[in-house]
Amino acid sequence: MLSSQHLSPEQLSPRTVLVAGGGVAGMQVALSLAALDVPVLLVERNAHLGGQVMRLDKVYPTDHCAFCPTWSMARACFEAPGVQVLLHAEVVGLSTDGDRTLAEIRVRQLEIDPAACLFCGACAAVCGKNALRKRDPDMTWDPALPPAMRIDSSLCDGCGACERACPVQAVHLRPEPLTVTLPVADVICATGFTEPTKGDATWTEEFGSHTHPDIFTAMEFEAWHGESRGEKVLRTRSEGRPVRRVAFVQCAGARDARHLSYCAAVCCMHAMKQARWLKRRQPELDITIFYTDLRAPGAGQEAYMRAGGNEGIRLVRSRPGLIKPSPLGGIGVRFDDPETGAGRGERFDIVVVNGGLAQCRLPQAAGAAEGALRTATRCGFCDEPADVAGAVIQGAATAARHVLNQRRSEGGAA
Amino acid sequence: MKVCLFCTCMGTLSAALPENALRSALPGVRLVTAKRLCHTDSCHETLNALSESLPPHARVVVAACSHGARGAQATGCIKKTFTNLSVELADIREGCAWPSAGADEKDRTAQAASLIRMAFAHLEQRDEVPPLPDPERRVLVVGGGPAGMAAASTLAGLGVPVTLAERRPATGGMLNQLGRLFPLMNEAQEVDAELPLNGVDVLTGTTVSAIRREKGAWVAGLARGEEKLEERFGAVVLAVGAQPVLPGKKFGSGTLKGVISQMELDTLLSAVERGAKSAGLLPTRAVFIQCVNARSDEAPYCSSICCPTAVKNALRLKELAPEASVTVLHRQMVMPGVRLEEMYRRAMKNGVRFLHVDDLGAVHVEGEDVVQSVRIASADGSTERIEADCVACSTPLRPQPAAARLAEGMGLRTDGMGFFLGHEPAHPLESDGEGVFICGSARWPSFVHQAVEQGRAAAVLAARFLNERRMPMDEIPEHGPAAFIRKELCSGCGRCVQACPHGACSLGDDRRCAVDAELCRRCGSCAAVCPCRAAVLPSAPSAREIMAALGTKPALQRRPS
Repeated sequence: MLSSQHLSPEQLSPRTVLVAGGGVAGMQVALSLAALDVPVLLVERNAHLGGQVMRLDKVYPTDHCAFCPTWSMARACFEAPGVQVLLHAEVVGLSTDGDRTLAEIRVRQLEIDPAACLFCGACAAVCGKNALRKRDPDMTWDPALPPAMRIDSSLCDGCGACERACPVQAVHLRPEPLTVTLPVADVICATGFTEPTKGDATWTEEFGSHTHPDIFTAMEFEAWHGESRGEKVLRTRSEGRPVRRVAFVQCAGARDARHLSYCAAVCCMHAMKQARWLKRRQPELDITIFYTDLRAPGAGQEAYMRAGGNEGIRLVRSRPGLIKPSPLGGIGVRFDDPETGAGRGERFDIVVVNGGLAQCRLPQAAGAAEGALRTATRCGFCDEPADVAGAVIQGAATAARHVLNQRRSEGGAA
Repeated sequence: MKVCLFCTCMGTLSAALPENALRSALPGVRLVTAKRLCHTDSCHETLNALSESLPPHARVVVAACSHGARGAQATGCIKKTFTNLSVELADIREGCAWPSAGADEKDRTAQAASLIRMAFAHLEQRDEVPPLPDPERRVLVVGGGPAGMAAASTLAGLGVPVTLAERRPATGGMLNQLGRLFPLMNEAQEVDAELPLNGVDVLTGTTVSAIRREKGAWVAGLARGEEKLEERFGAVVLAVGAQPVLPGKKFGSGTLKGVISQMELDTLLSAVERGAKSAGLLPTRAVFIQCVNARSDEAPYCSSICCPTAVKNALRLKELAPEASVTVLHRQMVMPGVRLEEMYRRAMKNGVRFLHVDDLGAVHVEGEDVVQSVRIASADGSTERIEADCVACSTPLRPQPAAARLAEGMGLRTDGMGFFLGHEPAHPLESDGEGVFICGSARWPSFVHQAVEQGRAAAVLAARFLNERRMPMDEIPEHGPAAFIRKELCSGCGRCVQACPHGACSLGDDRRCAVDAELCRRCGSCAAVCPCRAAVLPSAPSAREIMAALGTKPALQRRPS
């Protein structure tokens, strides 16, 4: 891991490739490049590597834990000699300078620099407010975060005793965001996707008051379901009633000229995975998936879908036009019945709105030359919607293409 | 010589565990203090000062924080600098100084000292597990289609010696049969040009009869006509591709003129695009039927490439003959992603009609000798008749028959259909075989551009596999990394043979079990099931080792019967 204190152009080899985004695609690019002796600067916005996959509970089609393979990749990134990981940092702009690319990186400095912190607890010993937390890195639930002390800002009075006590000067109570411009040989953009936010105006109109606690987005549902797994019966978030009927609404905001015109490719399998867990957890649940086309083209995916159909998951080929909390309780879903062609409504306890995963792109530096961003190769979901397997393949292939191009141009120059 | 590197953690750890007290609690151990072993510079400083007085193969215990905190960095730094040292970590911070912060200093020091002694006991009982044998630095790519060509071309570009075996007289595979390709609508020949095979040992007209594991390498039997030879490779990329399923007798195929497969239509369109006279060749009223012989109980999978191929051909037909009508009968249009969805929309805009049919049983192709119309019976009793002079059946890809044979010989898993299974989803191109990678349609039906991506990715994985540092085969000690059987205790019951998931255990002629060191993956299954305690995993601590670490004499052991 790279400390923002040591971030300077001199630290980087001129061959360094900047990989923006530390999800599975970005990590695979970084590891593959490092294996081919290309130094990598892996820049991740969040506090941990793993991206969206780290937020998943399980992965299809194996139904295995999502965390383990992702974490082992993250660990490998931290340990690979050729990979420098920069967390809490964002690429805010790209421009070109001759044959090199200048990347403007904004680092959100933390009160305690995780790359420098020894995790020794000297700061906690002197804190009068007990604001510094020492969590055992081997025992904490969240091993994705680097081992470092953490400040509870609600307790901290800013006395500065910890700053003075730190043997390695890792504590800065009033950190300022740092922006550096680094010259790199190439930029690979693996920035993945974002889920539409709940306040999105275009969404609220069609999908009811999207702020209702029983209407979930898919990623939200994944986290909520994972957390509530200890309970025997699934209960609604709003009133705590036992859940009987669950609906998954596919292609919400996707394949729709008003929102995202494309298909996000992963949502059908994602919904089926969640539906099958629910069935396994509570077989009596009545689960419906509203779909446009049920797309399961990947390895082992059709078999997964068929198994779901055999488990009693109801599949309705229809695109609901309205999702709204019903005055009779629950969430009303209006859709065209594919059998009769007539409109009808049904009530559900929980509705999971799926789809509309927006590709993230890197921003262009202010005042940079037009088209400078085209130097950034895209890979993973931000290039073409992909699931974990697709992103991993694309990551390794992108690394191969970079190295081949590099060798070709070096050969040409020589 | 016993050396203990005590990391004072910038003085914070030595405040809880005074150096002198620790030293007197550890007689016979040379205690060296360091300020901050997790920091590379500080670690090197300590080691450089120490290196002169350090005998080779010294046993070093790093007394520092836990593995999850900074301990791994500290030991990693030492191992990288001095490869011949045996290094073990003793966690005396999270494991002692912190939880025992309230205890008496004397007790705390005694506890830390015993943790350090335990670490030394580990080192004494057990050498480092040596790494796996060094593989032959050569890769065999089986199959010269787009995936295989991409893999071979990339490996050659990365400077890895590579052999490409193709059973046909020329490389190219599916590229030779296809015209324009999704998504750029470029010619298949252009892809060919992007994958130069300079520096690749290309063996055309060569079949790979079998591949087997032998002494840390894959031995491939290559047959070229009468000529047969065996060669050794360190890694294998399987890119044997797939073959299209034929429509059979479905929908009048073979009996009615005008009923063709999507592949045949592709060839026809390519011919016209390349300048053949189109008069009378191109259909004017075409009906495409999707999912023929696919997504059924016999073939329960979606071949994933047929929907995009149908849309691509519909667009090409519309471009060549704008007045032609095209109807696509589909169960579901599988067009995931940005580019495919855009193509689907373009097709709809260009007047291609997409008709959803739930059950293909409701579709009947009518005509005498020549196809005339397609009748679709709806569930509500109404029927729809579509005039047609051409019916194109989209059929899936199925695995090559050779794939199953190769998989069996190499001990690889295949799915119910015969496609190679990778470790989905995080390691999709890695198979069960060590150094065996799968790509292209042999793994799952793929477009050409996907096959090329997978080939390139598999090449990177193969190169990485070969670049990893390993120990030469003849340097591996007899009781090296693998499990072994203490023959004097073995009763020959064969439980380990059943339990071993890697097929490494077998019963010899002497009715005693033996372990094949190459196949062994050190999982410990044999040791777990052995009733005689004859199977031993060298990396697992024995009862004796645990007792020594605890500083206790082993209690009377029950003799295994």
